[in-house]
Amino acid sequence: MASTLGAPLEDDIVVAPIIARSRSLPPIVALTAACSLLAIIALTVFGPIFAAAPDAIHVGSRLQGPSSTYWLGTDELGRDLLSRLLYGGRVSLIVGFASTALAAIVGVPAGLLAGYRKGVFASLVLRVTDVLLAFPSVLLAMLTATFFGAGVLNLSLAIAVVNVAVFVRLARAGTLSQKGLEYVDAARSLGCSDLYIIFRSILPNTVSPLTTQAALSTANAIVLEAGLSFLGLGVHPPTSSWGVMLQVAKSYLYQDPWYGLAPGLLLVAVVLSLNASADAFPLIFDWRLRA
Amino acid sequence: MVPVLLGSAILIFFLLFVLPGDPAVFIAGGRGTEAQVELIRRSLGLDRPVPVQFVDWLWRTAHGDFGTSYINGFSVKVLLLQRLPVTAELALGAIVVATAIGLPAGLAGALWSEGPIGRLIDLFNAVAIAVPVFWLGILFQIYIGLQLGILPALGYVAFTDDPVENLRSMVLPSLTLGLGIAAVIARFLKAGILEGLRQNYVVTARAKGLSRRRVLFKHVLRNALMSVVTVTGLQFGGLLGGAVLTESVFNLPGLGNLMWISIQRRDYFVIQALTLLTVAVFLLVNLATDLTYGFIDPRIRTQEEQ
Amino acid sequence: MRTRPFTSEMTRRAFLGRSSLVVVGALSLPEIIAACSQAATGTSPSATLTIGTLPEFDSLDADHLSSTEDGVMSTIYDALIDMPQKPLEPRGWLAQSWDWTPDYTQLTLHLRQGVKFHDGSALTADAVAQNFTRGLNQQTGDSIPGTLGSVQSAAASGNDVVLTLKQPDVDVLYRLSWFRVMAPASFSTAKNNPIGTGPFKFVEWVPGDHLTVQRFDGYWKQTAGNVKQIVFKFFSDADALVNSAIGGQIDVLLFGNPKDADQLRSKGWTVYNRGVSDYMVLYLNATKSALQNLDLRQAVARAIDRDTIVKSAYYGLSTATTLPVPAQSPAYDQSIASDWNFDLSGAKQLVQSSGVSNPSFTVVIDSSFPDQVQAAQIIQQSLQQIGVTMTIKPVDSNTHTSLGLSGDYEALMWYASGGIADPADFEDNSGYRLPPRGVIWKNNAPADYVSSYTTALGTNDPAQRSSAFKAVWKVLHKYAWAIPIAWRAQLDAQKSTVTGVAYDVNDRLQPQDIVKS
Repeated sequence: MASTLGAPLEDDIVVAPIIARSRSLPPIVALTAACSLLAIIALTVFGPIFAAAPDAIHVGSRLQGPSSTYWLGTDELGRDLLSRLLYGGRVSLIVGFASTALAAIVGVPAGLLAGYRKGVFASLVLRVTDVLLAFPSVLLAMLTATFFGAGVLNLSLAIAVVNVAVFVRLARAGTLSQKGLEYVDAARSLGCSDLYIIFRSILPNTVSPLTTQAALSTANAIVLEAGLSFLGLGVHPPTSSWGVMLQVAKSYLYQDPWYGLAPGLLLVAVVLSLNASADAFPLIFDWRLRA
Repeated sequence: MVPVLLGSAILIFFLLFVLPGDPAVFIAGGRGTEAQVELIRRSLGLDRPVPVQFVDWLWRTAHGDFGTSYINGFSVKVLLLQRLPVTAELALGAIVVATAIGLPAGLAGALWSEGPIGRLIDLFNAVAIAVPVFWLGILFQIYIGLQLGILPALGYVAFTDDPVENLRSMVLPSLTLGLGIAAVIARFLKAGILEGLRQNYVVTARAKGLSRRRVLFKHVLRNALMSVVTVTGLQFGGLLGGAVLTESVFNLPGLGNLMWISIQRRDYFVIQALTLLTVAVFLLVNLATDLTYGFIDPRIRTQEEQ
Repeated sequence: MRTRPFTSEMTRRAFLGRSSLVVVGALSLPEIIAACSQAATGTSPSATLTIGTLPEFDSLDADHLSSTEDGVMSTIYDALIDMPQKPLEPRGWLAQSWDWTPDYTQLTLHLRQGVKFHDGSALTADAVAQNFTRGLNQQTGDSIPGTLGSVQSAAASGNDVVLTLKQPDVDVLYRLSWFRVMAPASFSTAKNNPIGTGPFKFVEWVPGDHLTVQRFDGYWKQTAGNVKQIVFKFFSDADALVNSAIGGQIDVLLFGNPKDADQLRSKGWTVYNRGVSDYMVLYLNATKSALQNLDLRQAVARAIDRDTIVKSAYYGLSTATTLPVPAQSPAYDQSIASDWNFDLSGAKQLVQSSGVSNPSFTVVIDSSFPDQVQAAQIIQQSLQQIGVTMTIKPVDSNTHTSLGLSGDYEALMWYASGGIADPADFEDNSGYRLPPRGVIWKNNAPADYVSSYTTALGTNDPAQRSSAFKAVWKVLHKYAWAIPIAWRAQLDAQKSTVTGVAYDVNDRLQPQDIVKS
């Protein structure tokens, strides 16, 4: 949940209860949002099959409004905006999901381990997370993006760095509240190794807020990618993404006001659905909530 | 707090070190030569071993000397002070907008949560959070500032030069930055009130005969507002990010803009000082909200201690 | 739209042998009018002019040459000579007149008398000599040591400054139009507190926000302008700059984008392309990767659809080029230039004859320049059609400059200043440079490049010089490592109430005659 460039909100165990209470959306809304999200993803996955080439330059027909040949008009080099929107959607969504996946893959195990046992590792992880959270996320994003360079993978890495701390915190918080419970003692007395306990017993019980966070981080990442592209730190031309399209559209608002409309709307729609469906994800992943 | 500041100092120094380019390149410019860049680097002390540079900078900063800009020779403190009023006013304006819109919206959302008004407010909240700040700013600038012409589309006039123009020029930027926060405030206030109304003590109070209005305003609202304050405090982390984009779009000479151009020119001392300043402010705000929240809800305090 | 302001012939004779005929201290027409009108009405300048520009602004030191600061610097400083765009002849400025020794190894500048610095001190030959000493020193001279590389030393002698050159080089005179004079007392603080002799004196600078200068009443020249104060406003965002103009907040716009011409015109602004001295160039590093193959480089040179690039990036406001000099220059040669006309089939044949299988390379571009971004994509598409894969790597400006100066690239897109005043100027641009300053040719450059350039540099007779440089262009086209693309169009605009805006040959704003009504 962020309209600014970063700073995920739900970053502290103190706040988690408030967040939980604020999510008072009825399940039907959450599920509708999840469906529209899937629809948009399907559009970007399958749409390009039917669309024109997104990189075909025809300078002569540039910056035209919607017409029967070009349903959304053309861009500054005469390329079809609709296909650039669809291919660009792929990039934006991939960056969004990939960066969250990277952040979770690194952050969750680190958080679980840090929460389970006190020690040097735990303190180190805690300190690093504190610094990453206090550090201005836009600055971090700009610097990591400049460092890694342009490109889908690099952008995902850069944004993952910004989002990893939240996962660490949440995983740790979940572990802290779980490890005192009886079933953990029981498992330990049975002789199960720590790693087994962490990943087979504790993790499934903490998955619920993590999936919610995953949805929110993805939304955050998509907006972050747009913002970075806006500042000129986006993907390699001629690849497009919604953020790149918005950046260029801003320069041509007078010449072609329609340019930014579709990418802007889709961006808002995706972020909206991710935020709204964040409540539905735990329902999918955690069978106990469904009961 | 100190470890986090130290950690941030290390992080920013490391990030700037691995970043390609440096201020010497910017100073030499396109007409320079590599030999010249080396010379400039040496004269700026950039060729010293990195740990030496780090300790030197840390030592000076701890003593209040933030260094001078590699680029324009101004003292970093002067540069920061020049721009602080702009960003402070922007942040204040954003908070004002956020509370002026968010509080009534949250209240209305709670009181009429069942009906269409409540749904509408929910929708507004969701959209306001989803729209990227820079896009919102551009829309305001073009359609309200340029086409309608009722407010300045961009630019900054100092309060001391012309108070009226100053306020007028800050309206659109504050709206841009504040709407997202307004939505957050509305959402949390509504949730806090609804949650509060379900609490046992409220049911008891009503049973005892206290009017709904009295219960609402004395107990529930006060507690709900506390959570709003906490969350708003957390938003400070994202404020610098929003400020960079808002100040760029509206051409405000604030700290966010300074950060952006300093990164472009690798003006190390400015970037480092700004980073530490932002982290310090964030930590202070966090501390304040943590204390307030811990004070209100003793259960949270013990949980934190684990 | 103003047409390219070149005279049909470059008359170098005016200064080469008959320097004494150079116009000395005469008033131009605007100045006469100004003197009359001011005398008649008794008004003193009172208007405040607001100029909007981009903020790549870091230093007010006169030895720091940067295109965005030039507009500001020309309000505060004067150069030794002035090269207007029309007529394209040097005229005396701080140096009233000059003499060459017959072998062109020594240039004596006769300084104008009665010129004062803003702090009241007088401009003396000694002060100018000190400026040269500082400027020619690598440690303190910033961009000057490269630009005035032929100058060995400078000495004051009475009211004259004598420049001794390392080798005969007439171009030095032209390059003096880049050299601005500071008050020696201000050397250490010139960066943010400059003192010059220019028509306006420095008042205050808030970095990244604005810079204010005020009319200097002790200026040595009568000016036609009525502007008392100029405020330069900086914009980090090009679109904010245009919006500010539309919103009426500024009077003059510098460094605009051609795409905004129509919008500004619709609001009654006067709009024109002032950029006539820079061209977009593609440097191919002939010492790296697949580009070591000459046929491949020749193929790339012919695969660039320059006309489409001009149309797309510059809205047709400028022209394509394959030589480092404009078409009006006597050193221009159409037969050499047409070598690299857009010819995809010819390019394809060259790719095949190169023998490189799956040729590919990466080009580094500066992502903050939309014209580079567009041109790169157009070139990419053309190259794809002939089987060459060009990957575009966008980087930020600082990284771009760093790579551009170190030569750590396979290919790089940049801007080069053309040989407007003199063809020899082309060599000052990174990719063209010869050892020891070389970027692409770090250790050895092709022998015929070195010899043809050295020969050309030593010529003095205009006809000889032109043909000598044509020989250099032949070598440039032979080795195809620096590929000019198109002259860069840069939009400048003024409100209809502002007149008298002029530029010198280096595209620098000359503010002294601006009138705002």
